[in-house]
Amino acid sequence: MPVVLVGNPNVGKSVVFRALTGRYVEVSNFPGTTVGIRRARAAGLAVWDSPGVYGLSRFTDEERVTVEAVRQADLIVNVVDARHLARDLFLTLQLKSLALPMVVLLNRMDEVRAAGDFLDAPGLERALGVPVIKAAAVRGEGIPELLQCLQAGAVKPPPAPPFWEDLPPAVQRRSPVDRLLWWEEDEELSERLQTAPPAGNREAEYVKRRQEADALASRFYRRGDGGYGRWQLQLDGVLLHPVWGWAVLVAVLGAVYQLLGVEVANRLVGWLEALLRQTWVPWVQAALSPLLAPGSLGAELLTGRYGLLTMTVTYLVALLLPLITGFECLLAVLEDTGYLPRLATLLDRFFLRLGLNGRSVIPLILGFGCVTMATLTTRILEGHRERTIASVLLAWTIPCSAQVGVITGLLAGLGARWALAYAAVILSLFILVGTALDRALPGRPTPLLLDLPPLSWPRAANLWDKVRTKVGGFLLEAGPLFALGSLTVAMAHWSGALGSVETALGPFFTRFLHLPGEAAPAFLLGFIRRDFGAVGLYQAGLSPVQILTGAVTITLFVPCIASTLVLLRERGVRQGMEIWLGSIAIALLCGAAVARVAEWIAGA
Amino acid sequence: MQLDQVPVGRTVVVRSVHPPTLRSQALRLGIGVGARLEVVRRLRGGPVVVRSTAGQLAVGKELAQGIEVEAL
Repeated sequence: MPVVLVGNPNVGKSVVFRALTGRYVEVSNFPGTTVGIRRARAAGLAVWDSPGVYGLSRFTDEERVTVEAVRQADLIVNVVDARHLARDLFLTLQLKSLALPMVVLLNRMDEVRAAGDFLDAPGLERALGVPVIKAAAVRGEGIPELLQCLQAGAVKPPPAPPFWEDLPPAVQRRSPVDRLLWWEEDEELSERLQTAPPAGNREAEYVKRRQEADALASRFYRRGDGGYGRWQLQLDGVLLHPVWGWAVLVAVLGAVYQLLGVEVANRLVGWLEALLRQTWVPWVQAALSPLLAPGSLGAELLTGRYGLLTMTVTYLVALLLPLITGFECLLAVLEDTGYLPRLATLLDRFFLRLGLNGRSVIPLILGFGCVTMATLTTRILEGHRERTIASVLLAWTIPCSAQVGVITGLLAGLGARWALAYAAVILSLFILVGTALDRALPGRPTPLLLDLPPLSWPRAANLWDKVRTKVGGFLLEAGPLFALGSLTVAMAHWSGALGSVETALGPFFTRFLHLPGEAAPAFLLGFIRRDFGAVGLYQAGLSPVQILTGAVTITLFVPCIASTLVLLRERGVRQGMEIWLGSIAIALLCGAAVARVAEWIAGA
Repeated sequence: MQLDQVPVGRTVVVRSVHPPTLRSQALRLGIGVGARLEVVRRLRGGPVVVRSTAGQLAVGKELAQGIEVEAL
């Protein structure tokens, strides 16, 4: 029977899990990183990490998973963010009413101390009646004490909650988790057991629990003078200011573009690609040439132009690795400083018109790094409606950094007018598609309710830890998908299918998009690697209008194979395919429209 | 009075939270009947930023319109 870690989102559960078990887990600072249950062993104990939730019910997928984990628990470790004691104690009190053995781990005590605040842990322990341990999991503090406590096996369950006496017999027979769920108006259980609790029960329990949590926090948490400094308050004012807030946003975006779009995506990636092409690729080709006959399928698949050891390795090491690392570094800084939630607050009113709330700023920004990763991150959004809208916007209108790099290069030769035209077309489509989806899909966007943590300096150790685990996790998850993509192209190339595509689709491209037939395979390659598609346009000797058409069409055209697979997994096969086919339709229609309008303007 | 109309700097007490779908989530995050909220900032046409015992929260406009408060 396992020890289950339970806590609010972003309290450091995954860090605690890793510190306990030594096992590598993806750690992040926005809610929703742990969607499944992660299991490992520590000192003879099975330890499970559950998705972060603000309460125990079955409102969202994360909560369902966590409820199921708690159902299996032998012992609960409730990880609490000590800085957010009042908020987190709500879940603590709810967990306590399960009357299961439980330990409260007060995480982030280092930050409480640094802020000059004081938390009376022994007092809280007496008031709660369960063991309370102080910890700072990123530094390993409190973990030995927790292990000792778990191994001693002497944790007693808290007393049964009073409501157990009021339960009807059908519910009395159920587990503690079911008893709590039923008592707090879980519809599924009421239906299954053919009996419902008194109306207004959940509300009454929630209000009582909230008041108790607030009372406990104000009794045992004392704020020092150091906490929220004057500079923090002033900076907070600037970030949310109607004018200065936007100025900061423009400056941040400019810096991001300079660092990622120019320094990393162009210079570093270009240098690394050239390096690998001159060293690794010839070396591996020479090393394997005795084993693989030139022109054979094996040679094509492993060391050919689109081979696993040549293209996939180059792609992962020279392109994805630096881009994702750079992006994650910047994102980690924005997150750890507390800027992202403020940005979400500032942009909320605009996102509402697209059927999203400010929270979606995180996956949408990530999309400019890597659409595959961003699509995975749509999990942090509240409901299916929001996730659908964000996934469509990502799959259709957001160019990933690999693509931005090449498209910038394509348009740069033409002058600012064409670059602006491209940006205007894509931005208008982004707004149009979002607005249309908001109107078409039933329901309304969920209003924003977002925690704004105090602004703080990022800590290098935290950043490194986060970037390393996220980049590693992403490469492990997406690497095989990219390999699969290369294999498909290598097969197509070897069998000559790529060439026949050109002859088959060429005339259509010429008539419909006014592009030369040689551009057709570029679109297919774009499915494997989105920047490949754009590179294909370099070579064809196109006019400015054709380059604009090509850039717009390729941006909107299907996302790469890795994002497609993630899209199918996250949104389901049916909706995933709809989004995928929709991107082809919108790309071709917009491409055709852009070609004709631009020709007309250029002609006039 | 509704939360979205409270002047910046004022502290208020929550009397009721209307949208029932959001009531539970609001309670979990520290906004419940009887909670004291200090309005820190209001973004024009956008969210209201409040400070409660649980920390600072950004409350979307629609939700803020559904939170009935009373001045202290």
